[in-house]
Amino acid sequence: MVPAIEARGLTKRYGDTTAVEGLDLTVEAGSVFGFLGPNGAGKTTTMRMLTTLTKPTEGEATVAGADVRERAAVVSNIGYLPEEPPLFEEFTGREMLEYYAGLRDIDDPDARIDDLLSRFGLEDAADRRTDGYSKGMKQKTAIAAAILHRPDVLFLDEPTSGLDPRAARTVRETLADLAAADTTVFLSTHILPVVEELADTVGVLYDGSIVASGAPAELTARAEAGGGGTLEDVFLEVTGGTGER
Amino acid sequence: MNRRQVRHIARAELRRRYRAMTDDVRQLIAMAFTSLFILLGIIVGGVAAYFAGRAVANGDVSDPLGPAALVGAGIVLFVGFLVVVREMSRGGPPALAGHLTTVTADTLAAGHLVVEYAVTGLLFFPLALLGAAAFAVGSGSALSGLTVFVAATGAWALAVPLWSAFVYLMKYAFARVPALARHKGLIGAAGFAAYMWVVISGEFDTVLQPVLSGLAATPAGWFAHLGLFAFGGDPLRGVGALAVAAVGAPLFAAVALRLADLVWHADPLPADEPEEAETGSTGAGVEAYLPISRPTAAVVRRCWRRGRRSPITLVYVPYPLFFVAPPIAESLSQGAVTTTLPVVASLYAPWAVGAAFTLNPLGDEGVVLPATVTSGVGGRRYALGRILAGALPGTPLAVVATLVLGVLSPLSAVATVALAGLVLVLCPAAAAIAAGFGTTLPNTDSSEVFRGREAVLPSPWAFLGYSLVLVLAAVPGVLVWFPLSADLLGAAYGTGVGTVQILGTAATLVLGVVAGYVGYRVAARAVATFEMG
Repeated sequence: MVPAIEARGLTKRYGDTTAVEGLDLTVEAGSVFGFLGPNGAGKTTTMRMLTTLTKPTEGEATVAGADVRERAAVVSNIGYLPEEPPLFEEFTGREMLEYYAGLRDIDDPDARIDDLLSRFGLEDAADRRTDGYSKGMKQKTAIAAAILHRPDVLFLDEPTSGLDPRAARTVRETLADLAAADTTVFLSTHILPVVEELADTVGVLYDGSIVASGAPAELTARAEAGGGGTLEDVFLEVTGGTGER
Repeated sequence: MNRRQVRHIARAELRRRYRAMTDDVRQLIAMAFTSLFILLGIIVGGVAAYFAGRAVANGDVSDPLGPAALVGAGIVLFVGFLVVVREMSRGGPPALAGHLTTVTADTLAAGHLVVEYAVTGLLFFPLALLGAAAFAVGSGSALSGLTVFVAATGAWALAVPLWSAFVYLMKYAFARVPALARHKGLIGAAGFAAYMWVVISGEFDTVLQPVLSGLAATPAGWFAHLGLFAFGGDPLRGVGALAVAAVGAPLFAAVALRLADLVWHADPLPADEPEEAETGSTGAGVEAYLPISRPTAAVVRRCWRRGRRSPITLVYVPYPLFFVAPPIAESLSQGAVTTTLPVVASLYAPWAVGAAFTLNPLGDEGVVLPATVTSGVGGRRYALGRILAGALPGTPLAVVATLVLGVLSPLSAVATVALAGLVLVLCPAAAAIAAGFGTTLPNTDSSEVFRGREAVLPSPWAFLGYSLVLVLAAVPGVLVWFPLSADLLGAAYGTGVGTVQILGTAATLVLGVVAGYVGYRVAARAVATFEMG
């Protein structure tokens, strides 16, 4: 089976600064990959390279079988939720989804839009402008936009950040549904319990390189051997004992 | 009120404003230009004060108190203009919630009043000092220099809290009076239109004169008696002016502080929002009936919606209007459309069309940019959508406006049709040229535009480059339809006027099409290959 995401020696430099160095990564199709790392580790740069928003300086990567240097081939198969919900504050939630449906050239998207609005509990707010939305509502609208076209691979940057417990659960359930429907989910987050709950494999990025990877159970077992026992212990151990740099 | 906190707030706010200004190249450039004008104004004011002093001392002016009262009123009005424009153009003090939960409202308001004194004082004191000194030299009376300075300072000291209180009163009224709160957008637009009308029609003096005369008839006019104390000013009114400043300034300051408290703690009434009755993925606009792809239509629709709901983003559209102001004023004063107006309008219309939606395609996307780039819309479809968003509504309007103005003017029918033809080609070409510059020189930084509202505006360099290329392309075609220039060009090249007009028009058509195509391709490529840093 072809991996959904594969990177070999992926490197990004900005002048003399190396943001990501020699990243090797394999994410199997239909799995949820938890992408962890402290602030400034290179997670956003990696996601940008994999979503074609930034060209790698060196190395190779494919997403859904397409070279990340070929934007047109990659973007038709991916959905991307940036850290800041990509919404126009002058648009209503429904208009925003209609806009993305138009850009994606989706035929008759109304039923799909209604379905997503309903799934995320946004029906009542659908015709209100997004500048009046709570952070959670904005995040849910943005996730709906990212999965509108049923992408093969979904990249999510902190999808549960700022959500109340109910909204966070909706998002987690949606991600679980997507994974069950063979969508590959590349999940970058600081919220470790979300990763523990959803991820099939985890990669911890530190200083531009993957320093630990494997199934959450494998990693926590390793931590148990060292006196720990949670993903947080693993995270702290491989990132030098602190999450903040 | 805690005076130490007041000083602290004022210092912090001045530091913040200084940094905000020096961090923004556009603001620095604007400030540099403004400073030049201010310097010029100070020099002119000083020279005028010198001659005024001489005229008063020589008895060349029969009643110097009349004009002096107008000057005193002018100071009050000018300071008021500075305070009102600055205060109305911002939403309120920054970090208002943080401040109001840390200090009392009157302390905060007092801090900002001190800032107003400091900022207006920066402008006022050089002018007052130079003016008073020049008046003293001109009149040969050191005492008059002192009294002029004290009078001017008194007028300034009174004006700052007076107009601050006025601004807070207006803000409170627009927040709490239902009729004003409901229609504040409309009232604001009407006010701006009236202002533009006054500027364009050249009736500024006509409007200003009664206002100044009315103000001069109030105690604000007494400052003239104080200033001209040595030259027949009424001592009683002179002392009265001092009393007005001494009592009025703290009184109006107290009123301003109280009103600020009311404004900041008022629950604003909601403005009427238009019903959102335009949803539907097929779209109801004209773009739905054009042979364009769905993604391109989506881009067109998105531009129109955002433009309608955030008109502030279209700020570059009226900029070129200032160049059309002289021929409009000329036509208004003559009561008939002049030959110049349709010709100038044929350049302005494409200019505005290009500036509408295409001067900053990438930056205008804001936080949506990553999603747009990864949506698969592609560079060409996206660029075309942007260009059509401006050209579709703009071109027919511009063509009709040119035809109507041409018919109403003494221009020949041939000239009118030719200009309309030029507009027909130049409008989409302008949008495409703007797209090229806008994507090559994008601006992604937002800046405060009005009342604390942040918007991502096009780069001034993109606007400059776009304007330059469009004007260069349009000039041959537009110039030859000015009767005089066509004659001159014909004589210079030893050919008939008709030939000059045909060649000029053809040159603009070719240049417009070529520049437009290049702009479109540049924009399409820039979008297709866009990378985030």
